[in-house]
Amino acid sequence: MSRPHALVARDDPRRLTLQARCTALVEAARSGVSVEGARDTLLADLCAFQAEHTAPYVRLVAAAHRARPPSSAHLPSPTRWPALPTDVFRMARVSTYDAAEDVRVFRTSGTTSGARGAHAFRDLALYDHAARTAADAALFPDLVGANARARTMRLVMLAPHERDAPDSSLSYMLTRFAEWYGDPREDGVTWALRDGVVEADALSMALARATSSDEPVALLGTSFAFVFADDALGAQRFSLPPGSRVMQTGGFKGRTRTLEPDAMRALLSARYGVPDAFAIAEYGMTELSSQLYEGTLADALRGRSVAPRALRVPAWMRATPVDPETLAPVPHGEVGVLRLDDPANLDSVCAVQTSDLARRIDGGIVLLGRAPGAVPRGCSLAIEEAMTGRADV
Amino acid sequence: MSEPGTPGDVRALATRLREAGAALRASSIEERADAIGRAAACLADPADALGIEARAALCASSEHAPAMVEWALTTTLAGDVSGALRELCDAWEPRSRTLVAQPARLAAVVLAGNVFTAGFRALALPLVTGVPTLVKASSRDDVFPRLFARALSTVAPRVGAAIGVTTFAGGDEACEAALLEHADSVSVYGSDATIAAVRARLAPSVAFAGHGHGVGAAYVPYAALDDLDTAREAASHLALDIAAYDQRGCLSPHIVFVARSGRIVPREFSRLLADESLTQLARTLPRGALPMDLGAQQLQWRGLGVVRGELFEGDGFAVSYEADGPLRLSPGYRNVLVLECGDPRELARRLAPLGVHLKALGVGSDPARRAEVARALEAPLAPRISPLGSMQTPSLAGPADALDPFAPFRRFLTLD
Repeated sequence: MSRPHALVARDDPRRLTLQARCTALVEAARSGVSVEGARDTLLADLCAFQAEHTAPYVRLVAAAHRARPPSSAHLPSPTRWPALPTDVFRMARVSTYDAAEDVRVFRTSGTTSGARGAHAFRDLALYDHAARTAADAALFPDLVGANARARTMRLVMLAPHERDAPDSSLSYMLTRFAEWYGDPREDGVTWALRDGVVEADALSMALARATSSDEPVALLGTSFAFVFADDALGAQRFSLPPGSRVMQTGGFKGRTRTLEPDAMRALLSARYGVPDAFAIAEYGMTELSSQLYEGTLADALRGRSVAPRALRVPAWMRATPVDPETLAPVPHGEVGVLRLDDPANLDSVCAVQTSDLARRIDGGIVLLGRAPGAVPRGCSLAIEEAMTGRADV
Repeated sequence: MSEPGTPGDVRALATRLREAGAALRASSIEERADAIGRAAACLADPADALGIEARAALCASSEHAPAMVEWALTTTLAGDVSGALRELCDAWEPRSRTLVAQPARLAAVVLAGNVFTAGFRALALPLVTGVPTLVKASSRDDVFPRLFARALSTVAPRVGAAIGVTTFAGGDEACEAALLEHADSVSVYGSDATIAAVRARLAPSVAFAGHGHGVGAAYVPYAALDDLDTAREAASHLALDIAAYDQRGCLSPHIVFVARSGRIVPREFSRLLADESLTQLARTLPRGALPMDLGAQQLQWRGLGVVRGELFEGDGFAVSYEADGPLRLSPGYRNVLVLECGDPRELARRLAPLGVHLKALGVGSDPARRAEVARALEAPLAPRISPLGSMQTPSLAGPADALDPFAPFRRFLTLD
């Protein structure tokens, strides 16, 4: 059995050192210097730290090391430390510290079995630092740096404000975006989704204001909110000013209407009049502190040739499609199950095993969707659904 | 996999089958059962040309290991198939002289694709009843029904003329309409959603049987845990139930309840199951390829197992011992949960959330223990309780899914 774990104080010297190293790593990544070595060292040190203090990870590491000693050459270094499956966030607290110190708990949306994943934070400074650095690079590169013509722009959010959805990590991030990048004028930031309903008039007016003033606007929201908006806007079409952009995130879990990524981009381009490169996907998870974005917008804004669509992995993160049985990285270009290592997950677990299928290409990761559920799993899900409310699945 | 049918193809096939119905009805039950038995024997015989073809084609289409395909063909199709069919017909034959059975004119049978041999019973029952059978096979795997139809045509052309197989994509409404429009009997094997969708399209006069989502469970009572040898035997039988069809079927056990009171404790039984029995089967009856999406689910399931209890992993299998943890279903592919349990009454309480979805329950030890468990269970739990080691090989002579096996295929005329 595993050793008992000890909770970590906020001012624990080892924690503070790791926090400082992570902050420096993100900063170094922003400046464009190579950080691969420092990242891998930090991730290994973080795993060792969390293997002593994050209860579920203590057990996972103990079991993994019984099966495959870390000193063995069985696993290549990126996956030598095991990754904690995201399902564990639904069933156990994944944290190095006591819940009394929580300042925020982000939760996943509902699942078939009803249990929601939870990711607790006692300090959001690293989250903010990582989120802002990633957004600076991929979503608002024209608002940062010495040559930026403006520091803010009009924003329209197709997602709830954090006060309406305090446990949504997306709402938290978008509310920070409003503070960091939002046009400070009274009508500079519009929240057009309330109580799960797209406010078509507010959306339409905000986009019309941007168009009439010839000021670019960033339209940010969830995939299904964009589909709702498409239904709500009817025949209205927009030709948003140059520099306008659309960011959509998330899948269609539990929704009745779904769209493939190409169809979604076609819909966005046709509805809002933004070039294809200016419509990008964001990939974030409640269980992470950092986000991945497609790189086409940044390429276009920087005047570079637009690379094939892929999620760019921030240099401080590691994204590794792995073989589901050996847990070893799959060869470049082959499909595996995506493992993400995010050092900004300081107080939980930095090695996270997702259910998403992905493959690595030059320039990033291509996401192939969450495990869709073949026949046997389909059976399981339906039965779990029937069991909901009658048993703790 | 064959080319998908068009609505015109399906309609023409339905017409041809209805026309073949007269000759089929003119034959006796014995002739039809004999024909089906001989066709099954062809496929079961590794030296028969169709048997050779079946082995190669089914390995490719099902992605099972060759040894598993061999096991499946042998356990399902070898032996006295015609005798079992005659026994089943006799058992369900009305004893009253005032009742006359009238076979349906055309049965439409929609098959699932998870366990290829499951189609055999689904096709044999209408045919032995004298009902021409139009089969809509899974678009992923139509190999077995087509081979069976060919075997039947080879050994008994008159019976073989009364079965036809078509394939088309799910949701093809024109083809579905063609499939159903001439059928007065419809049987559907598949997801609950598929069953509901088909049922909604039928006229009230059409006889219908739906065979939906299901899983199996197993119970190892204290009597099977008395000593190491007895426990080893139970684990060995249970391992076969888990490994069969790589746990992809509706009879496959996903959860094993092990009695707390045995001399071999549940954790030790879990270790035996993994380190001895499933390890042995990994050599003799290896698991097939793991699809990537199921691999993703397996990673999550096993990881949660480690956090909740103790995971015993091996080559293509895992046993997650989680003591008093909650029920949770595995992604299949030889991943099984072990929970501790008390007497059969506690077992019944713990199984209750599975409801109608519990299709099979394997029970260790002797027939008295199975009878004790049967008394404790309330309907609709577990239509079949079997010894460990035989969960995946139900007798052709018994009912399935707790239903009258012939209900959708015949009506009764009362002679007052």
